[in-house]
Amino acid sequence: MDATEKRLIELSVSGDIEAFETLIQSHQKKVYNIALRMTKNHEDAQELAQDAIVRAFTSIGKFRGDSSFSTWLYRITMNVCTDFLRKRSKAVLISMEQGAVANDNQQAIQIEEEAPGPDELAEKNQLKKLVRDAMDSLSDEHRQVLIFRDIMDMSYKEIADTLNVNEGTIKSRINRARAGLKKIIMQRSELFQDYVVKYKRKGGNS
Amino acid sequence: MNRCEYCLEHLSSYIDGEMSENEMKEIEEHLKECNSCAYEFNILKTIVSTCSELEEELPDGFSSSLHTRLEKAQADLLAERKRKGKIKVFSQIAAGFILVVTLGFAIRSGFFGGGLVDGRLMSGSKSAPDAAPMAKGPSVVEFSAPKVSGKKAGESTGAAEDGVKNESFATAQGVADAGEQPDNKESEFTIQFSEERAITSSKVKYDTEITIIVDDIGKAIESIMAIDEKVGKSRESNTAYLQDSIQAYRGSTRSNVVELKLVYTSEKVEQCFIKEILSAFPDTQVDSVPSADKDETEDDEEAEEEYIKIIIEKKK
Repeated sequence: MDATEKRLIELSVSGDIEAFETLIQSHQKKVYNIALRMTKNHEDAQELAQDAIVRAFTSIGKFRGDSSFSTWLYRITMNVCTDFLRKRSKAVLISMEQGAVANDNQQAIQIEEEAPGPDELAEKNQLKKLVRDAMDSLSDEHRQVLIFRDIMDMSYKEIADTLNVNEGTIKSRINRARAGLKKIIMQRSELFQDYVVKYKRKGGNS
Repeated sequence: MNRCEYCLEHLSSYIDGEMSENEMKEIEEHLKECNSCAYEFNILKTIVSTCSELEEELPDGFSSSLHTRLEKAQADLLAERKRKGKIKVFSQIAAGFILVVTLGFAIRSGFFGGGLVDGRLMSGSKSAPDAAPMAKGPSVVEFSAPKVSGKKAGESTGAAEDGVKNESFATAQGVADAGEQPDNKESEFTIQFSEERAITSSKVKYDTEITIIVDDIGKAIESIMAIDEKVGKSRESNTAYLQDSIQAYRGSTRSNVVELKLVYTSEKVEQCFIKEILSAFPDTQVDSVPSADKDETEDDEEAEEEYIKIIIEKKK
């Protein structure tokens, strides 16, 4: 923890809102994105991201500096999100079942694929949509580790510490989550396979 | 496990760089030789890199609505503290009245055990310590006030009556026990003390009140927080109590007195905490006061806890 951050935390403990806002400035986007990937919609994501940040503000006195401030904040965010999902677990279950049946994505992609020469950006955006939708179909647990790993860019150890499980568990959980993601994506689109072939040809696998 | 199986099994960790150098090298070699594994690698690599690019921008107005919520959270904390403060002030006004009434009835109904009873008020509050040690100085004991009902009661309660119902108060000069709720149907103002209650209160637990005189209250609070952390094993709520006090102190009015309430899980931990406090602050007075049967109806789970009240005063 650097000196500036330490000072901002102290000020936040004393109730200084401005200091707290400076403190979270560089983290709030990630907080929002954790919530967005967890809840799969913008309205809930904004609500929960703010819930998490407000909770961090009111309980910042409990922050002991055992982890970095951002990790602590993300952990609160993840807790807020998992609580929310648990309460709505029934609704989530239903939407997942529907998701498995619906093939809208696939059709949309195939239609666009037939269009002549889509530029790379559009292709990339389609790919993102494909991955994002596939991610939304994963279990909460699998989605969670991928958020930590690929969105938060946390190491296996950091994730393990945050979730209070051992590193081996995280390693295999990430492995299984990605296998699941891949399976869904391959089922849904041929575009993706084409993309991978192109990607390989360009030597973009650095 | 053949090489391809091994490779596919570890592709994910390989992409993340979460393996030893030797293992990384092994996979790397295999990917050069094996087209099918290389293909799988490319698929997975594409998925992973796309995942890391999924981050979206904050919605418009996120920061401003967040700011509003933070202000509200801060106001709630201050309001909560203020509310507690008001009860406190009122309770001291009511204290004198409660003392007289309760002590009177306590003695009349044989509450203080053997020596003092027979329905006569023997020698006022100073005779009480036989059964329950009293605090020195202006100690404050919280307890549940008996309900006052009926018009006859009104005469003796005077101005304080309104607030007496269902509220919790503090009495000056520790009265050991407020006793049970009186029977509301009685229009006579009487309080029944059961035999059992009198026995338990003679083994009363102690709350502790610490008065600290310092130059800088803010610094003192920080030191106390540090000690609380050092002692460990405190209830988690201590942090909340401390935060609450600090925010109230730094918030609206910078008063010259701050009160902190702490809870410890055992007497041993509490003693340890007090020892630390004594060595940290030169100008400190510690009083033990008998813990009254306070308004624990709402807070049963905390009934077994040891309370410490810390009063920090600014040096004049």
